[in-house]
Amino acid sequence: MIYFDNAATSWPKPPGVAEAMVHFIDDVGANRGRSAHRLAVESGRIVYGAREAVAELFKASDPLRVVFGHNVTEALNLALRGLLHAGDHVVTSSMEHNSMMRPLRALEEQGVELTVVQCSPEGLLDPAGVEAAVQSMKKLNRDAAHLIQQVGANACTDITGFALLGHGYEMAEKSGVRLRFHVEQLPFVEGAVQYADEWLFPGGTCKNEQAYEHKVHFAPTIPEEMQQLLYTPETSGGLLVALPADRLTRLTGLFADEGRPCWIVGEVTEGEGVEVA
Amino acid sequence: MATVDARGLSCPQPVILTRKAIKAGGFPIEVLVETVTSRENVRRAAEKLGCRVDVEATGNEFKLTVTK
Repeated sequence: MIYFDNAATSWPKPPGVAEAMVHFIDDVGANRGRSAHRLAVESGRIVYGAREAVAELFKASDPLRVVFGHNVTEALNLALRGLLHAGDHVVTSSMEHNSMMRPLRALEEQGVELTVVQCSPEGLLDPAGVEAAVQSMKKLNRDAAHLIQQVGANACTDITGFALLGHGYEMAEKSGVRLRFHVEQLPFVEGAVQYADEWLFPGGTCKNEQAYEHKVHFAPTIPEEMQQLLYTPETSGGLLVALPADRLTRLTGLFADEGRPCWIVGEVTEGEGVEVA
Repeated sequence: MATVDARGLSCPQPVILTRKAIKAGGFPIEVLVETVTSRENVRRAAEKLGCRVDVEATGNEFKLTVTK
């Protein structure tokens, strides 16, 4: 392997860069904004010119909204930590530089939800995978919730960081019942099963398994890859709802009329915990 | 002989880097990880690609040696 060191750093610099720096040090020297003396004004003109050039490049309407950082790492940290709050969702690729991933992982600890779209071993990103993931995450639960409320339900949970099995267990435990999922009825986003077969799981999968494995029973025919997949954290995994059997047709009919996806994935039984059949 | 230093990386990064190294050849491949989760994920992923994996604990870390 040959390391070209030409991404974060580049050399030689384009013509004019060295001259511009020498010009500043030899002929300008002052900080901008320090009174209105000639050199300070000249310094201000150079910085404002840079501001305008950056705004032009990005087609930004206001050059005053350009912020200069010391380097890309600092700028990314400023942007990510300034913009994101707990509950926000970020979609990124698995090929990002540390200057992107480390702040994102730190923010993930603080409640920012992170989806990392996997790239192939050749370093290629399948746009179909990104599109499917983004569309899935962008879907609000709000509309589904309204439809469910029209029919009425016994219990409902969203499916997020604890995965289907974790959130399913929490719902079962609070209601004093047992949930049985039928694996062949479970829907998966494009690529999910394939990535599971390749054993590409985030660290959160292991954490969920450790937390819930004693409450979950898998039929012996269920492959380990599928078990891990059901323990895998979701950024925005939709709503899991339990309702009386006699309202099922009405619910699925409502969802079909609205063109919204709805899958029957299992049933509630006596007992406790979660079963995957 | 190739080394994948995946210490400090969250899964599935260690798996992805190991898979890259496996596809590139250059056995044996040494993979360094810090957590049990990473160790297990790398081991499973490598075995799925038909490799043999030996695991050694070195202090707080793990060294996996992947061979074809």
